[in-house]
Amino acid sequence: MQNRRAFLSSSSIGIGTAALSSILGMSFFKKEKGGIIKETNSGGARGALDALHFAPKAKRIIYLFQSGGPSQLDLFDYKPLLNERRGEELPESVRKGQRLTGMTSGQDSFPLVGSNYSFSQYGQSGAYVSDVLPYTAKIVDELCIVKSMYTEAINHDPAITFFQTGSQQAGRPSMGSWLSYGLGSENEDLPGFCVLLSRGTGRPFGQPLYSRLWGNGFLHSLHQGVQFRSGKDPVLYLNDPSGMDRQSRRNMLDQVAALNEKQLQEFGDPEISTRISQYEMAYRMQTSVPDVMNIEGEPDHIYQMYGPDSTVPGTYAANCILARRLAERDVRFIQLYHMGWDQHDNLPTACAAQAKDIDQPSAALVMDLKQRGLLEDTLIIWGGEFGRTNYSQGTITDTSFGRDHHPRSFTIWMAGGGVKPGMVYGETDDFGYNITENPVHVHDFQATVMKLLGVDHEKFTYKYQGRRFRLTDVHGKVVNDILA
Amino acid sequence: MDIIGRLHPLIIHLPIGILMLALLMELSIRFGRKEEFRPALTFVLAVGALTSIIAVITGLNLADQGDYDATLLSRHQWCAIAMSAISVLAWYQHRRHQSDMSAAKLYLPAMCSIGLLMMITGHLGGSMTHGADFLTAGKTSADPISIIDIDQAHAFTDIIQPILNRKCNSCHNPSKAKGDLIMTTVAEIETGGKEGKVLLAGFPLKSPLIKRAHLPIEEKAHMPPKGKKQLSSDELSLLSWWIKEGAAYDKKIMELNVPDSIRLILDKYQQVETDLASIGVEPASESQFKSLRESGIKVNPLGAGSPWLEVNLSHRQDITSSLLKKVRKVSEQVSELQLANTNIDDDLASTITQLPHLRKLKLQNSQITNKTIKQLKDLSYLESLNLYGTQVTDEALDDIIKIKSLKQLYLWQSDVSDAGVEQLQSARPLLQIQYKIDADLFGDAALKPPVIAAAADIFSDTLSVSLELNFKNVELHYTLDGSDPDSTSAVYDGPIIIDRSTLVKVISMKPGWQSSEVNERQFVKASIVPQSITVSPEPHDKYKAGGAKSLIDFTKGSVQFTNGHWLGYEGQHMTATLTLEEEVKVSAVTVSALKADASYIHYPRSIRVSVSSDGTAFTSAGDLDIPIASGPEVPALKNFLVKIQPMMAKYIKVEVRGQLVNPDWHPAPGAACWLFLDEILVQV
Repeated sequence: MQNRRAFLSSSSIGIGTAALSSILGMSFFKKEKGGIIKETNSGGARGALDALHFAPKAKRIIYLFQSGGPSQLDLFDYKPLLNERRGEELPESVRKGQRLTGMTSGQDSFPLVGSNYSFSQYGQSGAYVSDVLPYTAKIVDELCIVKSMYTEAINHDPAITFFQTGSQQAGRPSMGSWLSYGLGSENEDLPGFCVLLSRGTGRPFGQPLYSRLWGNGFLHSLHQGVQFRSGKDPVLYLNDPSGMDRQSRRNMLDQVAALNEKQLQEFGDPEISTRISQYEMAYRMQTSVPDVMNIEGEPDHIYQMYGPDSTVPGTYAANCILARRLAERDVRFIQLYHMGWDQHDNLPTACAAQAKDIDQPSAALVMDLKQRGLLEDTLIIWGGEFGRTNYSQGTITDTSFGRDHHPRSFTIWMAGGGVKPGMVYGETDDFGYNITENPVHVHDFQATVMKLLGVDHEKFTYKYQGRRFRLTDVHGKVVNDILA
Repeated sequence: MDIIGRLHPLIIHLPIGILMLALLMELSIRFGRKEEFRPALTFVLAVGALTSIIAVITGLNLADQGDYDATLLSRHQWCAIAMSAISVLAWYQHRRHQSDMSAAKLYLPAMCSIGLLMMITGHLGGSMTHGADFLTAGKTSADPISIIDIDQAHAFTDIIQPILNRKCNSCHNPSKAKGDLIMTTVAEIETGGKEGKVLLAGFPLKSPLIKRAHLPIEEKAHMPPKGKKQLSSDELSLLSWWIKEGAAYDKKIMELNVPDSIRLILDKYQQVETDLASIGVEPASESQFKSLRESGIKVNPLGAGSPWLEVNLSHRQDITSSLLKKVRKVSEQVSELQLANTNIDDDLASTITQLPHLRKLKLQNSQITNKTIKQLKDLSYLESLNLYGTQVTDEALDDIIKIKSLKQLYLWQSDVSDAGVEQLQSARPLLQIQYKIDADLFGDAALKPPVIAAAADIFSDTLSVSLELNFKNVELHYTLDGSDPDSTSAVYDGPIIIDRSTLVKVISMKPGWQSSEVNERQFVKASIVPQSITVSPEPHDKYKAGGAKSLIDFTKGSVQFTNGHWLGYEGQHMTATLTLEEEVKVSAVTVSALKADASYIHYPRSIRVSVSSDGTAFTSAGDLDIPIASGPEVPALKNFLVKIQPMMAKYIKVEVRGQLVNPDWHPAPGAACWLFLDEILVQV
């Protein structure tokens, strides 16, 4: 006797499994005689997009997210006027009623403050780079620096959520999840979306990050980012409990899969297949994750390239080496977060420390990918969720001042996979407050990144609760000027 | 009165729509028995006829202004005039015989003619504005030329003419001929238009073709006109260059002088054209995809509708020739082949040469040698070749030179020599070779100091201290006497056991690396647990931990000062009085304090220790002045050791004087600041 639910689900089995195979496309397991399920080499996990909309320039992304809001005025956007007019009031004609955070809304004055660091021009492009980024300065001809980013959010969490999911409110899928869903994975032994976190020395106890930033939202849970941690348990709950050997685990999985298979035959719920493949993925990750995380075999010259921090697991530098190793293994989206860029006070000391964390490793990552031939199809993105104000939060002294959050203009850079190298795009006014040329909105940035991967951001949608959702919502223009 | 003519494209849609409605109404009356439409139809036909007459008038006016193909124009014109005449007839017939339509003999033929003429007139009109082949030509932008070797390409037919076709010839063609100029054939270009020649060989800036493109877009004379697709800067440079080089119609690129800037554009051009090149390759079939994927081959099309495929076999150590044979089934389509980190060797790689359209070949960290490279010269589209980490030598470079299409070459960690790379680069100046990174880019780095790990900072008996640095072959040196360690200091080879208060200082060293900075950590042996402690004044309500006794519980706080281990005083000094179980000889007192200047917390200014045996008469025993920091620093905690002349004591008074206000360099100088303490320890 069939009940209504079973009838409905089995009559939709055709549609259900078809949809599933398009989501998963994996044939990880094959039934052999006697019901034993064996691993097979699969053709990779294919994405929901049957074919890309454009020929892709990049096959994978390494997103070096600088959490907290790096000060563009102390790193890339050189504004000598701010030094000349240090301590003078920010003219209202420049601020034009821009809303303030709760941290400076009580301030009666907004004294302009220039950078304490000195700037020089580097490379063929003549891009200005601050002297706290000496290594970045040396490779500036590999970078496409966008000085005219702007966002709508003014506080950390909404701003990061906006960058990652296209919405300030939590709940939408992260960029990596979208791409994992759309493009699938090229490596069936590792997740298509990997996440690595590090804390900066500039503000070691700043805001934490929430795992929903790499969440899958309404997409299938297969596509959520998997956090790799330093230490002996890189992915939580992945290792077998002590006393269980790999063969026992294999036997257990085979039998569980056989039972699940039976359940799938009866009910046809695609979630069951997903569960089977998730178990298989976890099983393979038991060997693939330690393999990728074990950087002992890296030669000394690689450690020297990425700098001294790279010998310490869990640092940004060590994560950069891991990012390269994941890229070599065709992981689609590698998301790093480096926390601690939130210099509300004590900026000259803290920002320099923070810059030192990321300078050499980021430059080394670009050059390391280049020498391996991976830079031509890997897109590296470096940037935070917003910029910092041109006026000081708190009192200015010779050695100390602070900067509040500034959404109206900030700087990011990209390198590799299809962006023009040695380019500075966009311009801000002499106060470094408003954009004067080629503004790039967060949605424009997202549209551009998707274009580079061969995806038309307007066509790539997911229907959920009656609405077709996009990463760029109903906005976004591809910034063609920066495409090589 | 041009405006009347310009309204033509707008007005024509009125008679089309209205007469179409009339036809539909007539059909509904005849076949749908909607007799009630009949009275209204007269009105509809009247409006239809009237608007078609207006359309004809505007059309005649427009014909005087434009340069349209004469044949098309006259056909369109007469059809339209006939149609409006017939629609007047139809209206008249309908009006007159409305009550008895069977008497209207001419009505039905008139309505049929209207339908027919409407289609013909519309089509002719469309042909004039959009080009005669607009309907039938597939993709308008299709320009299927493939430039395999740019040097062999013809400057005019392969480069210049496609630009003219894309950007000029929608107006300057024989059926439209704006300004009497036609640019579809060499002869017509030479003839020029109404205003004479369009180009002067050798003088781009005097040629109207280039001059007009440079005019501001708002100018009437600017070409292509506002609203049409503009020339890109690359296209404009190419046109100028070609005219400067004599505007020859039969020369090859290699016969012309090509400056670097143009070379760069042409290279791009070549790439774009090869991308687009449909060399007649059909996309792989669904069943081919399926069979490849079932064999475990990752294969993806490069863009929707593109026949080209990317095949990814990287990181596989089980590649066999039978697997590669399967790839050969789509040999025409494979554009990118990833064989990085695989077991591919020369034997297996022989398959690659059978993929004629290969553009990217990734062989890094595979087993191939020079033998494979020899076979690659037939791959006439190969643009990117990755040989990093392979055993190819200088010998292979002669074969690489022969791959004309190559743009990117990766040779890092191969057996190729510096001299070989240099030679290749001079032979192929535009080839981008990635060989090795400049040595001065990443200078030799300093090591990190080891982490000094121990169960606690305070211990009562002995403590095991270990040094940790997760790096191979590194030598760790340490001292326990407070001196700075160097290469002669003790080498760490296992946990250090300490049994007294000790300052551990460490350094790491390794050949080829700069030595690390010194790392240090103070361990305090607290052999005595005081019986009780009182503090005065009471700590701030927000930071009172578990009361005064938290100072003697041997539990350290951390820089996260809200964790309930710290006693905080705002703008105050503090005094603690410790009572010991019995009178002992005391030699030192240690006070552990916090600084976090962003949170207005600073180290104490001074510590004074006095002792007593009865609890009332205290004798001063020792003190410590602590300098105020000279600038902002990262949050930290520190043990301040106050050495005293060893003396017997049962009661110990510790006066800790705070800084009270922020120092001058602080963002809020002069504001009340905090004193934070977590432990006070007594040593014998």
